[in-house]
Parts: sequence; structure tokens; C-alpha cells
Amino acid sequence: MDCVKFEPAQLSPHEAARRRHRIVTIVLLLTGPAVLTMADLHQRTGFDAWKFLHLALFALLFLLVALGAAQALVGYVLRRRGGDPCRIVGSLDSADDQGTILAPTAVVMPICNEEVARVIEGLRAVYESVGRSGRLAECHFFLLSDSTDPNCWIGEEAAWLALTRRLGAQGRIFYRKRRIGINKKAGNIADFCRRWGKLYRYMVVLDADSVMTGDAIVRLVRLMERNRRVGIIQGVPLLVNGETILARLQQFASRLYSPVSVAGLNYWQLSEANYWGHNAIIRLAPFIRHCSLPELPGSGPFGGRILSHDYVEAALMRRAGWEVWLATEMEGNYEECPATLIEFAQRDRRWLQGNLQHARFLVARGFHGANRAHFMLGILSYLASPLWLVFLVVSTVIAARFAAAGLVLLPGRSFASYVHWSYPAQALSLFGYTMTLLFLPKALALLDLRSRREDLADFGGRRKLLPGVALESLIFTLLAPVLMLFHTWFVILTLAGSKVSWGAQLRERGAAHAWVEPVVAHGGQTVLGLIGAALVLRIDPRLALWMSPILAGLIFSIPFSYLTGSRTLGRALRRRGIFETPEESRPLPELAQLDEALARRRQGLPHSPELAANYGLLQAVLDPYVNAVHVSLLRAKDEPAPGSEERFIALRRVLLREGPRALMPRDRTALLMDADSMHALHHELWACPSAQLAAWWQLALQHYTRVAPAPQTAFSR
Amino acid sequence: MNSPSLAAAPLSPADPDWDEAFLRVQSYLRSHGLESPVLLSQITGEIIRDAEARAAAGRTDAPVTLAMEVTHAFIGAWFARAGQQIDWANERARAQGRLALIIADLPGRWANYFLSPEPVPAELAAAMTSFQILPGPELSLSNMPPALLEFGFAESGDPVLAAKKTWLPLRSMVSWLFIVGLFGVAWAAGH
Repeated sequence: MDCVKFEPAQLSPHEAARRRHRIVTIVLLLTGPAVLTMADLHQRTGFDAWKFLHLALFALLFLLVALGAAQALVGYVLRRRGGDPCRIVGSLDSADDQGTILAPTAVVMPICNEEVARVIEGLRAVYESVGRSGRLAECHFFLLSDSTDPNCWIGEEAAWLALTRRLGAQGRIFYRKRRIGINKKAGNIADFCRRWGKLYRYMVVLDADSVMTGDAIVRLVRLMERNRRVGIIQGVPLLVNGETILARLQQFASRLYSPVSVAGLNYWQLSEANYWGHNAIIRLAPFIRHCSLPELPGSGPFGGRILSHDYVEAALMRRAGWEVWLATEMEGNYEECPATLIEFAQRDRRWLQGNLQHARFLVARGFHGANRAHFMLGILSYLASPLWLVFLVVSTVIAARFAAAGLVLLPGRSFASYVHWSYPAQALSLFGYTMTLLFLPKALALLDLRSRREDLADFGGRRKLLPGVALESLIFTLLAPVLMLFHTWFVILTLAGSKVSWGAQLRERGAAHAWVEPVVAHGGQTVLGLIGAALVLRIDPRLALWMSPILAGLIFSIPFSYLTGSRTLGRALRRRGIFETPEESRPLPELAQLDEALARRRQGLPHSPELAANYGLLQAVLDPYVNAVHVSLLRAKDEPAPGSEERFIALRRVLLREGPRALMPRDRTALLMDADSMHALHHELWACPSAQLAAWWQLALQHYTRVAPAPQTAFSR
Repeated sequence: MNSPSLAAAPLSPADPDWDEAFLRVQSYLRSHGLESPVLLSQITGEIIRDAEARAAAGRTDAPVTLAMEVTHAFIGAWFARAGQQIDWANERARAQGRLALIIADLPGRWANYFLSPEPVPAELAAAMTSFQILPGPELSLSNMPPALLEFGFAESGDPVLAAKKTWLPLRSMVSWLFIVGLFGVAWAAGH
């Protein structure tokens, strides 16, 4: 595309307002006819309070559907015209790409109890890619650990040192573990900023499962250098490395549909875009000055620490006058996604509480209107589920009241009498219109792809793409009611003040996905689906037919969850080219190497199940090198607290004589944090006769023993 | 087998405690990356004989304990030969020594030189001397005060945009009301 270079600084202050005006106008134009038709349907059979409520819910939910459609529509038109002229990536030209950049940049990866192999290999892929782009001299890489699980913590330390040795990256890749993980991920990043932020002009934030190519990082730095009023540029990561049906489905859908939607999103956001917490570049000086998160007044779900920090940080940056942009159409930016429906729901549970907490920011002073819109849309993305559920319940109540009255339907005339709409035809038209808008983004994305032959081939061609789209639409249709119930339940829990546990996501491949987990997670939904089906069948079989996709999704949620989480089926579909993405058909070297390295590492995973639960502790005590690395990274003790030495001696004795299970997790962690204890444990364990050691340690020592057990023969005693 | 040190060693009657000590020492050496069976047997044998001698001299510690004591002394002596001034009796210093070994990639590149009677390669000795572990750059502290948040309905935060308040929002509101009004008229006309 031959486009004019974009100068964000010369963007008219009215441009964003004009664009938002157009989007809202399209939304109103799309929503109006639907609301009018629904109101008329109610009018024809007589309005009552239930129908007013039904109409209000319909209007609200339809607004959200229309917003998605409007964004896709605008995005499609822009792409057909060669792309939005107001894209931040358009602010660079070929001369900028050749110029020297001397901007010290920190690439940070905050981690918390993540799979160590994935973290390390992901960072290696990024590091080597930056090396290939010739920009290592300006970059430092940081693993910022908040891991509390000793298996992860100890594994990270050893793997970090091994990585720096392997890459010759001493003094270039750093590892920092916080003793206390105050304020979760936001606190982790803030701690980095306080210690080292002054040393760097930019910070590229990665997630534990992110991969960014060196070219993408360099391009982000160039964009920041070129646009000195920009505080944050958020990349649009593509989903990769999925193996289960659900993961491959998500990456297929996001890869296929997101270009059009994201173009529409950028259209109205412009310099008031959002920050998604990772795969973004941040200008450190204003971030340090303006974006430290305070605690919210009060307690409960809306008070205390800010859980979803990214939206708030973007709003604070914008409040301070710095622009925030979305980098559309920039390649080399990837992340992974949850592998199963249950992991998907667990992630949503965390995000939901954070987003609901943003309700307070709707009325925070000084925030830009666009940021309030981001907060509102984030809240509605989850509140839509309970609203939809209430809408379904109200629909059922209206039908039940009609059935109970025993009346025959004699509707009045439609307001559009000139089209001679019968009541069923009007209802079906409304349904068709709603479905059209719901599926419009998909249809437009397919049309957009049709004009790009090479991209179409990367999706496996039309023959594989279309069955994929059909299957994806079917699965997401069945998935929607399951998520609706999950989200509704989470909203209730959050409003009731139930805390969300921010544990690491279980993303690793190979994790057993047994039947028991779906049964426990979806048992209630299945029962609700069966009750709902019986109820609506009793009220009106036609209503049951209308609601059948919703009821089927709930009734079959257990096998649905199990099957969509299956790696075997996911791989089988991949062999047939279903849900194929360009990243699968033509993987980048970074992704291919990551895949190979992980396969090698995971094959080598050892240890007996008995030792696995405390393998980190085992290594830190037993292995001479892991022990040495671990104690070298512990902070030296200033002055031991009175009585602490005696406590540690007692804990060490229990650990060696009775094994790790005899200690509370906090005591094991205390020992791991005490350098003197770790020195002493290593020495005492190796020098102690087996008879005085716990059976667990005897088993652990056998790892290093060369002698195999005597062969068992008929003469063995 | 042609192992002079083993051939010269007096054979002790089998003793489970010394067998355990032998295995423990061998395991400890393996945990450092030493995998050569010949070297392992040779060095472990020497260590056990030394430990037995200490026991014979009146030490009452368990064979495993004695053998590990000798092992540490053995490693300390090897470090000294490599030019490393490390007080091997001190566990903290020993951890530093082990760190030097791993950073110099002893298990990967030099495993068969570990504790071997051969001279320590100069490259290994240099790598052990110059080792350092850098978990982070030098601190450069910044103050990061929490942002001030006030709750209550509010003006735009962008001072640039706030100063350029335009008629656009008003025009937008009017046009949106007009659209809603049109639908209202359509409704009213039909009923």
C-alpha cells in the first residue's frame, strides 16, 4: 500500500470526536429498527411491565451487538480503501526504518508460578530474535518473578542462569524475585520501575506466554522515538501454539476476524486507546511519574488494590496528557490462550472482578471520556451475561403468562402496515436481523480475506476455511450459554465479596484433562439446562425450539467441555487443516524454535510423583549447583531476629528427619528464603547417614546414585 | 583392570556403612557432573580410604559424615590447584566455589577434569576466577508516588483537549436525538 505518512502530532483534535460521532450514529441506526420492531411486537399483543423490562434489556443488549457490527463495518470499509490513514504504524516510513536508534529499552516479563520451561524458552526466542535484528546492545531483558511455588521459583533461578550461560547473555538477561508479591503484577512492574526504571527510556512488557520478534520490538521503539507525545503503544498479539480444539478455535477466530475488528477499534480510539497489560511498549519516565496505582478507598469487591491495572494505567497516562495508541497491522506479536473451557472461565473470573472494580473509575476526576468508555465497555463485556440471562428469564415469564392465560394470540396491526407483516413473520424478521448483525463481523472478515489471496491460502484455502468457520460458529454458539452462566455466577460471587484467587493459569500442554473436572465445573449448568428445557417445553414447545441452542449448550456442557479441551481431537483437526492459521501453515522461526525447544524440554521432565510436589525444594537442598545459585540470589541477612536461629534449626531438623510434608508450606518457604539454612541443609543432608534421613530424602538421593538395584531372579532373597 | 591406586589399596571386608559412604560420595561427585566411571571409582576409592584412615585414627563420626568431610577437603585441594583461594571448610565459601564451577560450565565442558590429577586447564581456571553472577543492573532508584484519584463526576483530563472545547459533542447529541426522534415518529405514525 502506498500511503501518506501519518503525523499523529498534526491530527486534528476534532478528528477523534468526529469518528466517535459516526460510530455512535451507526450504532443508533442499527439498533433503532430492532428496538422499534421489538416494541411493536409487544404493542401488538399488549404491553405490560414484563414487556417493558424485556424491551429495555433487549435495547441494551442490542446496543452491544450493534457496536461490534459497527466497528467491523467501519474496519472493513477502511481496509477495502487501503487502510486507515490514522494508524500509528503509518507514522514510520522507510527512512525511519533505516535510522539509528539509541534508546535503552527494558524487555520485562513479569511471571508468577508459570511453567518454567515455557517462560525460559519464550524469553530465549525473544532474545535471539532481537539479536538477529541487531539491537541487543540497546536492550536488557528482565524476568520479574513473583512466584510463590518453590518448584517454579527454584526452577526459574536455575533456568535463568542456564539460559544466560547458553546465550552468553550475562549482564543482559536479569532475574529478580520479590520476597513479598505486593500488589500482584502491577506491583511487580512498579518494583522494577523503582529499582531500574531510570536506566531505560522504554519498557516492553511481555506476558509469561508472549513472544515478540526482534523486528516488532525494534519497530515499537522506533514508533516511540518518532512520536514523542506517545506514552504507550499497545500491540495486537495473535494467538498461537494452541493444541486443543478450544485453543485452536480461539486462535483461528482471532486471526481471521480480528484484523477487521481491530481496524474498527482503532478508528474511534485513535490516541485514546487502551493498554492490555502486555505486548506493549511504555515510555518509562511518564509511567513512573503518573501511573503508580493507589489503593482504592474502602474494602470489598470495589475497594482495596486495583486488580485490573492496565486500563487504569492507560487512563492515568492519558490524564497526564500522553497519548496511547493501538498498533494495528504490525506483525511479530504473539501470545497463547487458555486450552480448555475451564481455564478460559478461570481467566475470566480474574478479569471479571478487575473489570467490575472499574465501575468506580467511571466517575473518577480527570479521566478522558474515551477511557471512561473503555471502562464501561469492559464492565459491560461481563455484565452482558447476567443481563442476557435475565432477558431469557423474562422472555420465558412472558410466554408462561400468556400460556397460563389460555388465550389465543390475536395480534393487532403492525406499525409497518404497508409491508403486511404477520406476527410470526415480524418475529422471524427481527430474529434474522439480530443474527445478521451478530454474524456481520465474521462475514465482513471473510469478504476482506477474499481479496487477499495469499492470506486465504495461509488459512488452508477456501475448502478448509469454510468448514472451519462453520464449526467455529457452531462451537461458539454452544459455548455462549455456558459462559453466560459462568459469568453470572462470577458476578454474584464478586458482588457478594468473595475474593478472587490470582493463581497462575494452567496453560501447560500435556496437563491431564480428566472427566472429573468438567463434571464438577459444569454439573450445575447441565442440571439448569435440563430444568430449563423441561420448563419451556411445558410452557410452549415453540419456545423450546427458539431456545434450543442455549439449552443444548447447557445440557451438553460436560462432554462439550471435555471434547473441546482434547489435544488428541485438536491435533486430528489440525492434520485435516481445520482451524488452520497462517502461523501454523507458515510458522515464524521464533515460533517454530519455541515449539521444538519445548517439546525437547517436556520429554526430559523426570522425577517420581512422590518427589514432584517438592521438587524445587529437593533441588535447592540437594543439588550443589542449584543450591549455590539459589543462595547467591538470596538477600544477605542483616541481623537475625532473636530466636530465629533456634526456629530455623528446629525446622531444618524436621525437614531432614521427617521430610517436607512434615512442614507447613510457609515454613518450607521460610527455609528457602534463609541463606544460612540453605547452606546448612545442603551440608547436613549429604553428610547424614541414610538411617537418620526421612524416606523422602533417601529416595531423592537415589537420583544421583549410579548403582542399579540388584537384578531379580529366582535366587533373589 | 589397571588402576594403580585401587591395586595398591588394602581390601576391607564389606561393611554396609562404608558401602553407603562410598555411594554417597560417588553420588555427590556425580551431582557435580562427574560421569566417567573410571574417574568416579578412582576418586571415590581414594576418598573412602582417607576416610577409613581417619576412622582408624579414632574419629567416631559415621562413615558417611567422615567421607563427605574428606570429599570437601579433596574438592578444596583441587580448587587450590586451580588457583582459587577458597576456604573450603566454610559452607558459604563452598557455595561460591560451586557457583564458579557452574558459571564456568564445568559439568558441560570440563567434567572429566573435575578432581582429576591432571592439571586444571587454564581456560577453566580463568573462567572460575572471573565468574560473576548478575541478577540485575546497578540500582538506580526512582520515586514512584501513587497517582491521586478523586471520585466524583468530572471534566476531561486532557488539558489540551479541555482547552479546545468544541461544539462537536453538542452537535453529536443533537443529531443522535434527531435519529431517536425519527424512530419515535415512525412509531407514532404507525400507532
